[in-house]
Amino acid sequence: MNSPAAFQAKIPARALPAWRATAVWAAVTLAFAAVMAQAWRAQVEHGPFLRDQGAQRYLRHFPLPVQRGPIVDREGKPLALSVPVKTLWVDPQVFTHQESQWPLVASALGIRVNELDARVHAGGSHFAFIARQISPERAEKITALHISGLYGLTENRRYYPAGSIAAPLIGFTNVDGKGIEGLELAYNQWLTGKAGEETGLRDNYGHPLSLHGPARSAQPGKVLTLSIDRNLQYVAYTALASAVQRFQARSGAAVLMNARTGEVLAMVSYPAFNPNDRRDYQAGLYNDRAVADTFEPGSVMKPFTIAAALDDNSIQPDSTFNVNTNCFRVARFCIQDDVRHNNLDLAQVLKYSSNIGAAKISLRTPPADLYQMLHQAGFGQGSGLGLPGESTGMLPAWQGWDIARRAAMAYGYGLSVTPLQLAAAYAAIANQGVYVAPTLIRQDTSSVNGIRIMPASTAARLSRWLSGVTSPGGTGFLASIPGYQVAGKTGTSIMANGKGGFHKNLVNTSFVGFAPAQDPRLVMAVVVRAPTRGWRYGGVVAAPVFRVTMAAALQNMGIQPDPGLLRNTAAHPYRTVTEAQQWAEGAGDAAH
Amino acid sequence: MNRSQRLFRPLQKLDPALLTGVVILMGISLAVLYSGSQESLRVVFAQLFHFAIGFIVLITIANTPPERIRAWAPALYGIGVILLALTLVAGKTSLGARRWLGAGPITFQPSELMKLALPLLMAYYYSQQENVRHWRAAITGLILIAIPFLLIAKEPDLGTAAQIGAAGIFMMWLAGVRRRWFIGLLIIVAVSGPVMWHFLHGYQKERILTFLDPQRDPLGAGYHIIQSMIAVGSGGFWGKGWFNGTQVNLDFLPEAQTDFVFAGFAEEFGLFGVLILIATYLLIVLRGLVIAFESRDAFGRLIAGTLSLTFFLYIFINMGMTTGILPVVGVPLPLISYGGTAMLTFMIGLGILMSVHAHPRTHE
Repeated sequence: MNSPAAFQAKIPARALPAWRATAVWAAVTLAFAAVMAQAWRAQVEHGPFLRDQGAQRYLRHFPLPVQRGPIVDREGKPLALSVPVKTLWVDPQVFTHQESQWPLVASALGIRVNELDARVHAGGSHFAFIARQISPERAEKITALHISGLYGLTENRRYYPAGSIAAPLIGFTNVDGKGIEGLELAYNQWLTGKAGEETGLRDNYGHPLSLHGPARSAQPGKVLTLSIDRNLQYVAYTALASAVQRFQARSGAAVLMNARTGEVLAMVSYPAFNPNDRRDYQAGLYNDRAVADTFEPGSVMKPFTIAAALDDNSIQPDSTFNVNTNCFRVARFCIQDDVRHNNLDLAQVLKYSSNIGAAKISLRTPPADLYQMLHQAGFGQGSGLGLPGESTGMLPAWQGWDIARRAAMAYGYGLSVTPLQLAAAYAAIANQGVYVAPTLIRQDTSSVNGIRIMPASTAARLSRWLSGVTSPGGTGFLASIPGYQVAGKTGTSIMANGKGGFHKNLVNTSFVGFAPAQDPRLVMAVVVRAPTRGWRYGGVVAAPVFRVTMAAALQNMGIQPDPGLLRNTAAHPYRTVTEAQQWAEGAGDAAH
Repeated sequence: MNRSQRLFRPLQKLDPALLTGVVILMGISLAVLYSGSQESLRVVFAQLFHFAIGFIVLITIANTPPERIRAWAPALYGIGVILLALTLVAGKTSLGARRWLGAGPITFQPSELMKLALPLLMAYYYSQQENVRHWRAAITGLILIAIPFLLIAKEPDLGTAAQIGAAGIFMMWLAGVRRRWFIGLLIIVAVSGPVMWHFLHGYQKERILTFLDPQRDPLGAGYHIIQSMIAVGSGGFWGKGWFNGTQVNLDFLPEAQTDFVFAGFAEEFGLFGVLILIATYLLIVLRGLVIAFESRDAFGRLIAGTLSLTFFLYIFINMGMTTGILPVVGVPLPLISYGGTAMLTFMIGLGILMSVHAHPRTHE
């Protein structure tokens, strides 16, 4: 061996003491055992937990777009539809490395590069929308550029074919497809369906990798079939809109109902907005006024005063009332009629809308009975439609009525109602005294449960008497439809100013009625708030809306005109609306 | 002696047991790196190249008699100390520490050299000490340890300093330094621990706190260990299978090819794979210790024992930190982690073991 001499000089190798060797063996064995034990603990004992922890990090759930159910009218015509559109998003961390491509993208989107830059940085660190809900063709042009970090996804955009005609009723969805107003909100769950889900892997940077396929397939939302008739909705809307515009009113609302089933055939509100372009939308301004707005109804309440009095025999069908005074004093108030009459029977109290007559009837009736009648007719209560923003109106408890309130209640002051409540209450008169809760959903059964609120005989009498209102000389003659007997009641109430008093010049004008009076099928309530031009009476402002809509609805329902009644038309003393209004003013009895 | 005999003679010096272990580890290493690098052949070939260089060095060292290796010890140690000092003055700063020395593209960590130089010099020293029980033997050993320890700790690289220190202590233990010195050291460490805490750098304190409670900063300091635990645990008994490790392949696990390679392995091959890996390591370590204890030559025994124990220490620290029983210290998993420098050190170490075994000292 050629080792260094120094090395060879030394060393007889001393044996390592046995205990030191043992200590070494023990240390090594123990350490490996510890690692083994820890590996066992992690992999076997806590394995499922840690595996799950891992899955939470790498598994990603991608929602599968779900088609929102359409809203259709009773004929199946669409009122709200979802159409597929494309949304483009970017992963900013990847997309920012593609800056050379930005001008291309921006110009394809029709925006400036710095706007694109703003959008890229407006989102999270791994996700930012750059264009939401654009047409598939346009999105295709951009995705065809194959820029890394830019992705497309399919969304559904809600489209409302009826536009503003039904907007306050239907409401709308937000950009994420969630109903936030109207029926879209009320029936959101029904319409939404169940979103599907796809699971896939993602890496630590959030990049989606492979897809495992759908974990849960999407369940599309259900169809919501309304009782609404799109044609009648259209007719009612245009008639209402033209009345509001012609009389420069603040707003208006109308409800058309099937008297027997409670189905709402049209529910319109004006002003309305275009749900397909909501840039000008303002919450509150565009409520569904048919359910949201309340007002003191005025004379349209008189039939219920009479019904309550007849029911408990406070008056008889042939009772007459002397109204020959300029001022019927109740407590410190002076009740007046616009036109002085002598003795009026019940039909005439309605036809000429006598406040004094109604007050006298009410003062004979126990307040609890009147309250009961109004309560059963649905006043002061929710309709059960479940529409967002619906008001119950206000019907104070009868225990608190003093004598002045009892008199005022008779002609519709001291309580507040919604147009829908008026329509539903009149439907009870039309439906032979049976109140049927209104509904916006098409009913496929003909048997509808209701609550009898007055004897059929009383309902029949009221129908007959109310027909007088639309006959020549009645306050509601502008509601008459050639060939049909129309029953109804006008209302013109001075608007409360919210400070305990009344506005000087502002009125709510209304007309509520049904047709044909002998066998009522359709009921409609029209309210126009604060008209500022012309003859500001319910019979002038609201009645024509009723006439136009009701005529169309009767035709739509296939109800034939009565030839006998057609002949009478010639007897009408007017030929045009303008003439009629002049006539109404000249006649002087078109008040209340 | 014919040609082929001449060609294969150097291979006869290789220890079959150690060689088997190394080959198994190489197979595991290449398999794990291939999967963990998104199936990058570049990584696999680079590691294969590291192995090739390593083998050449291993064979060379195995065919070098221990006496010659022993003769290099003082020079290696001297060079190591000089380079360490140089590093402190002119080293490259990276991540707040001066650990690298080099010019141009060639850089290396002098501490890597010291991992071999210190045991060699100590083996050199103790193998010619007549009376290791004398206090002078202990003090000399401690000084030899202290010089590189302090230089490396100053970089700062406390982890490496501690590993080198541990190797020195192993050496003193095997050399037969009196028990009282070890007890004394233990007491000093225990007592000075709280005091030392104030001298630790922020990141060092952070690592220890994180080890005690990884959840205290799950996205920061605790991130490594949490992801690593998830990877290990996700493996279960049989593992998710080759290429199916999500923690690694989806980039959740940092350092998945270097310090945390064990986690990726455990995820894909499960407890079953871990058992095989530990068995392989145990084979190498135990074989190394057997070589040490069987050696009748003092230098051979000391260097073989110390290197075996150091090898074991690396395995234990790496697996321990990956599975959460030790704080995170930057230590590669021997012969598995990607990288050439550490590989070379381990191969030299194994070469020395083989050399000790292949050159039994003959007493005249």
